[in-house]
Amino acid sequence: MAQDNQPDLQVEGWLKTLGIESLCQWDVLVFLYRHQPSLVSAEHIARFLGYATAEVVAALDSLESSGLVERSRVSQGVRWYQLTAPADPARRDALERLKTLAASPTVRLLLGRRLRGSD
Amino acid sequence: MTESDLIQTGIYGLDQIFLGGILKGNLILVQGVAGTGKTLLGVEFIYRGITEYDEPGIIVVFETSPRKLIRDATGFGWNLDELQQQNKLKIIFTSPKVLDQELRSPDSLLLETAAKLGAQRIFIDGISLLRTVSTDNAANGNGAASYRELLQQLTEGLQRENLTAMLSHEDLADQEQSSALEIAEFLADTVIILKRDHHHRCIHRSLEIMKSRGQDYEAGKHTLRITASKGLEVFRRVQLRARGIPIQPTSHTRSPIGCAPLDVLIGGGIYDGSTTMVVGISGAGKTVLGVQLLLEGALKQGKRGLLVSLDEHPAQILRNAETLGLNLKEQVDKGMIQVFYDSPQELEIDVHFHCIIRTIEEHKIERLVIDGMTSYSSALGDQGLYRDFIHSLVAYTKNKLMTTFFNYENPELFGVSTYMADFAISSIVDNLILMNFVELGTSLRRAITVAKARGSEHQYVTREFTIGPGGISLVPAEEGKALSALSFQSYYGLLSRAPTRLSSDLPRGGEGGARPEAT
Repeated sequence: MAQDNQPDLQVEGWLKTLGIESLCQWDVLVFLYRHQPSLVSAEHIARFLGYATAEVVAALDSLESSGLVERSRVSQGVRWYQLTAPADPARRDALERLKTLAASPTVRLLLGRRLRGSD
Repeated sequence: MTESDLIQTGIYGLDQIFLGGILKGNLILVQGVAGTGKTLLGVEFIYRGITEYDEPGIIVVFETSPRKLIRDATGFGWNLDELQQQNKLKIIFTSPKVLDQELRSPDSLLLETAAKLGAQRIFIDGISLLRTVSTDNAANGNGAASYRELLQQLTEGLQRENLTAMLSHEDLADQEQSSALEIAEFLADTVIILKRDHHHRCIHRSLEIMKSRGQDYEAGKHTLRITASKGLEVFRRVQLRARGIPIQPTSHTRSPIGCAPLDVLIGGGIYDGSTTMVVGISGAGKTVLGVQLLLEGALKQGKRGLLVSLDEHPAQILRNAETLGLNLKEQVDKGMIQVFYDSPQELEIDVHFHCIIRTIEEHKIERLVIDGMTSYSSALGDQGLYRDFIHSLVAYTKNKLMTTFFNYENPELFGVSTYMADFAISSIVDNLILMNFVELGTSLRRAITVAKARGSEHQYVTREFTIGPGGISLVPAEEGKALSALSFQSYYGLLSRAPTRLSSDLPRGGEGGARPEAT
């Protein structure tokens, strides 16, 4: 069940712990959570989410380097994409808490505000 | 064909329709419009394969998110997440194009995963979406593989991996989709059609096997139910003949009904394995006679009984029996008698029949009372279905040598001028007992007649009976004299609407040649 009334500061903290800074990163993370394991291409994910492929590739790179997403070898231009649980307990906890917000607009609104603020 | 040649779906009732299971290696196509249960059938096929037959499986989805699939499955008590963690299941989200590539690719990630998992079953949801791949290919000049070729490649790929595949295909009205479906139907070895039909204002789900190469199966539309916490349930259509039953057994043993004078009237009890129709207006005493039959069986002959009612709840039946001093509850508590109530609202006859048969088999029932035939006819609203139900029940009970009473509520308060003309099933019963009200003077009295008793020398007389402590009792033939009214022997035409008193000078009823006092 979504925790819509989560204080923004707390959500901010979880995002920071995981190193999620953009809407695209968040949307890719939620996509993979809902559709895991996915046997797709980055282009496919980009089409689903309405982003440019380059943007999704960058988000996937960043999520992979943060240890949140696992990618398999390439076969015919596609890979397995799967969320992974970080080894660090604080990061694992942050991911679990954010998963509960996957169906709520809280995180998107927060990230949107942050992006507008940085404009 | 041996059992090892077959793959069991594990879905309740479905393997029975396939006479044990689906032939291994058959490509199974499930088709139907949206909301008929295609995805559920596929998911349950995989789930049961893992949990009941230890056959790991893969579910491939193109449009549904795996997370939603997992969520929806929990409503049926299936923990798909746990199976994924145990490496027995993989739910894969991909596109039709990728699936097509992967099944042809020598270094396929999908097939590598299937091999690691030891997958034996695969369900691909929404195979009709492969059409988009064939269209894309044609538009790009990319080999222009037709939909037929794509399906052939898919089939080949799956067979190469020794996977038993179930594919779902949405049934749409447009021409292009229809031809795509025809191709899929042709290529598949087994085709299952799911439907949702409107019946008056309610919905009836059905399942039909259109074909299944290399094996026999039960044809026709069977009832399908989607039940929370269980999943799919398939109920064999009631009209089907039972398979493998040899010549119908016949008994020479007679057993008492539970009312000694009536046993005499019918020619010395009823044959085991006989069917009896008890006809009479509501309140004539049909249910009481049925209860007596069951109690006689349970108490004196060690025969277990079943009372089926669409009219009265068990508690009410028990209470009414108690008021007559018939301790039905004790036998119900002991498990000697079962009372099964089903609501006539939205009655699904295949399911109802199945429940009766299951109860008979589970409890080794030897005496059966179907109380309220009229409720069946009004609940079903279909004469053909009603007749099929009765025929199937009679055939089943006769093969089990069960003693069966069908209570039929005649709409006429007095007399019987027509008898079941609307359903014409009287010929299939062995015995016919008529129970009526007779108006004599200012009092209503009860009359009973055995109109038919196959293989018996029954008495062609109408007797008076009363209902009191102990149930139905027949009034001794001469005792009527002591009553305020004259005995039945003083009248003729008791079954008609207007009994007429005989002349006191003439011989009494049953002796023949009697004439009325006045004409």
